Amino acid sequence: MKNISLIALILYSLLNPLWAQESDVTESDVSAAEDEAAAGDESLDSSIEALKKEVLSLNRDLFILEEDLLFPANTQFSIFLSMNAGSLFALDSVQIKIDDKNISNHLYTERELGALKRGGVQRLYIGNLPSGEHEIIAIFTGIGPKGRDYRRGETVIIEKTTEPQFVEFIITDDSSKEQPEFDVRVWE
Amino acid sequence: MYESGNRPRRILAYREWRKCIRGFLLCLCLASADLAVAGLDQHRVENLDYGSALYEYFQGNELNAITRLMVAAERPRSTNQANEANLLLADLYYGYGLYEESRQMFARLLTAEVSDSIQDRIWFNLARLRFEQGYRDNARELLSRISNRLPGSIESERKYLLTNLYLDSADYDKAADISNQIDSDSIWKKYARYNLGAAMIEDDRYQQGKYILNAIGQSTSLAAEQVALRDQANLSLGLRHLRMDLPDQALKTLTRVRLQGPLSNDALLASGWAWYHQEKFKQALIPWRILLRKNAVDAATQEAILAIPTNYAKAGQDSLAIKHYEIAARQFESQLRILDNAVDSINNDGLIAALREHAILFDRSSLQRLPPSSDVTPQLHLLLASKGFQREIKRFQELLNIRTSLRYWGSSFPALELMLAERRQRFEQKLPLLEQTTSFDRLNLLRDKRNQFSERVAEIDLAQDFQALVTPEEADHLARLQRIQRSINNVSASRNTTYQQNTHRLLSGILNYDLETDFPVRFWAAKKQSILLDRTLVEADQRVESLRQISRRTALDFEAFQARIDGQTDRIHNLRTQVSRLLSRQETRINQMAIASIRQQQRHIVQLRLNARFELARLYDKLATPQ
Repeated sequence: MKNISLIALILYSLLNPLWAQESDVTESDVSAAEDEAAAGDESLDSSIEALKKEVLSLNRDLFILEEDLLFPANTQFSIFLSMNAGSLFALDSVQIKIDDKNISNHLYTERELGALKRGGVQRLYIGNLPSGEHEIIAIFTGIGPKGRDYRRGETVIIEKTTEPQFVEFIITDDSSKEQPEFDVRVWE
Repeated sequence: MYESGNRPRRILAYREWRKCIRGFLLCLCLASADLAVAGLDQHRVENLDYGSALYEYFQGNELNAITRLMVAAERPRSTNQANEANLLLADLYYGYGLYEESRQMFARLLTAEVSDSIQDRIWFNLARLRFEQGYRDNARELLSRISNRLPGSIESERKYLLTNLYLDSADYDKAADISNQIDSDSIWKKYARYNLGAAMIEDDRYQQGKYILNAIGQSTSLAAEQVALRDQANLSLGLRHLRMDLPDQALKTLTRVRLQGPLSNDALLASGWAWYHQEKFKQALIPWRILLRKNAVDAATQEAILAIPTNYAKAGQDSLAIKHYEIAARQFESQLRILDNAVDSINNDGLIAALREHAILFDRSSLQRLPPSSDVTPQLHLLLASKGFQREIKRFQELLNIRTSLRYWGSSFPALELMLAERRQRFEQKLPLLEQTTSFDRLNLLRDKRNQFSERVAEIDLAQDFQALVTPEEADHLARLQRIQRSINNVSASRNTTYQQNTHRLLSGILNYDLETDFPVRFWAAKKQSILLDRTLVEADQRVESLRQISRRTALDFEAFQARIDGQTDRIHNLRTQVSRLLSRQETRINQMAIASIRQQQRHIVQLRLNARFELARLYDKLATPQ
């Protein structure tokens, strides 16, 4: 019986420091620390919120400034790409030529393709073009129906005016022919 | 002694399980916030700015998406789908934590002339917003305003929200009815049915809840989300059966939980308890030993460490129980050391480094599926699943994105400034040349000549001076005739010049006759030249004026650009300083949360170690006591 009590005492003494450690911190200490932490959290949260607003406003201002400086309205020209369905063509890359000069090559990631398939519109190119007639060629490369390599070019002639101009290439499905279709739309 | 010693541990374990389930449901709520916009999948975009924003959003680039929409609002290129774009912006503001901006945008949209479908979507978004903020009655009232079917998966989400609202007021019949109306292919139906089943088994609708959870638990789908839901349903049902003292039924459902899934540890622990309740102690050891072999530091494993000797003690195998209690005590020591090392690692930025790497490699939404890879991640799985921690990590990623964005402006803005300065310099160099160009003098000379010409034409007209409009050849003929006349006059006194005079008169007559009869035609040609000259002069005047205006406007443009650029460098610099400071504070907050979670686990282990040692003392006591 004496031994048992001794073991229990030893075990208790082993555990005691742990309890003592825990009991050093009073409830009021914990509560004060929590209040302080909550106040700090609130201040950090509001600071982050204020920063977000300020950064959004800065981004908007500088984005417009950059565009105005680099691409003045009278020469501005942009090319966009979108997909409408697009299940008959798995896009790998797009090459853009203006007046037979290669100006853009884009290789697609899964994320970008996913965004296009969900209805997003990608700005492929923004640049400057003088007024007058220009030939725009887009060459699409990927996998077509029945898993075959597919390459297709689409050409459009535009008459650039002194207003900003946008061309949108649209990849669609022609379900009757079981073939992908490539449309062009010129936005004035 | 055993029962009284065991009960607190069991309760603790159930608490952990409930936390798991709560965490899971909260993750569903987070997912719902993301999927509200995803419901717009594959609708035809008729506004390039709106489409570009969607393109950024669908890739997880919220900041870029908001920026594009803000730019489009400032400079609309198209009026198509303007309300859709504003709706998206309001949604993105909400997702970005700018609740006031989001609310204002929704309010503005509601006062605008919008179509019924847009209005319905605004009601839905507001309802979702209020639901997540905890204003359930308000959310229900807003949902009731929706008059038409919502597009795509948003309609399913609306019904999912309604199901949850009915569950909130324990209106199970309506919840069941509305959850049944959700499109069967939609994941929202599975979530709604799960929530309904989980709520029913905890209330007095055990049989109905069991039926629903069993259906989910026996789903054969291989889709990741549905497989996770299946595990969750089986675990929830198994735990409920255990609490109802139905171990055989608990085992039936718990064995359906995948061994490689995130809920396997909890399922293994619960399976052991199910066998234990049936007093099948050998079988109880099997799942617990599997759990121990996984060598994880989590509540389920810790419970299993202690459950094994408890099991031996219950079976009357005291010496084996002592041996395993001693092992348990050593394992708890080891786990406490692992957790201490995890705290050291967190203090040395191990977790933050993993989060940074994760933020670079993956988009924000992937955090819910794929935790950051670090040596402390296994010790933080409960925390990582919690809504509060997810929110803090989201903020951390947003701050990293802001820093990247500011870094871009910090490096590209000086180039813009330089470009403007060079353009301005080139223009200023050209301006004096432009002003001094002879074009202006030439214009004045031209104007003088035009005036002289005009006066001369008027004189010719007045005097009907046909000789003024002779051609050079005719002028030559006239001059020759005059010279001949002079020669005839000189010799007429000494010679008979009648023939020459007649000939001269004839030729002069013919020439003058031609000139006189051709005068109207020639005069009209001269007049026409005068008119054309006038037009040319007007055009030249306009061109010079336009050139002057361009010069003035370009100078003003430079001033305007300069005004827009001035102060931006300081603005960028200040924001970069601010973001670094906030990032550091956010990192501290994340570390504190992680350490607090680990300390909590340590307290739990200390409690378990205490139990183990107490049981050891009791068993030693029992062995030392003479029979």
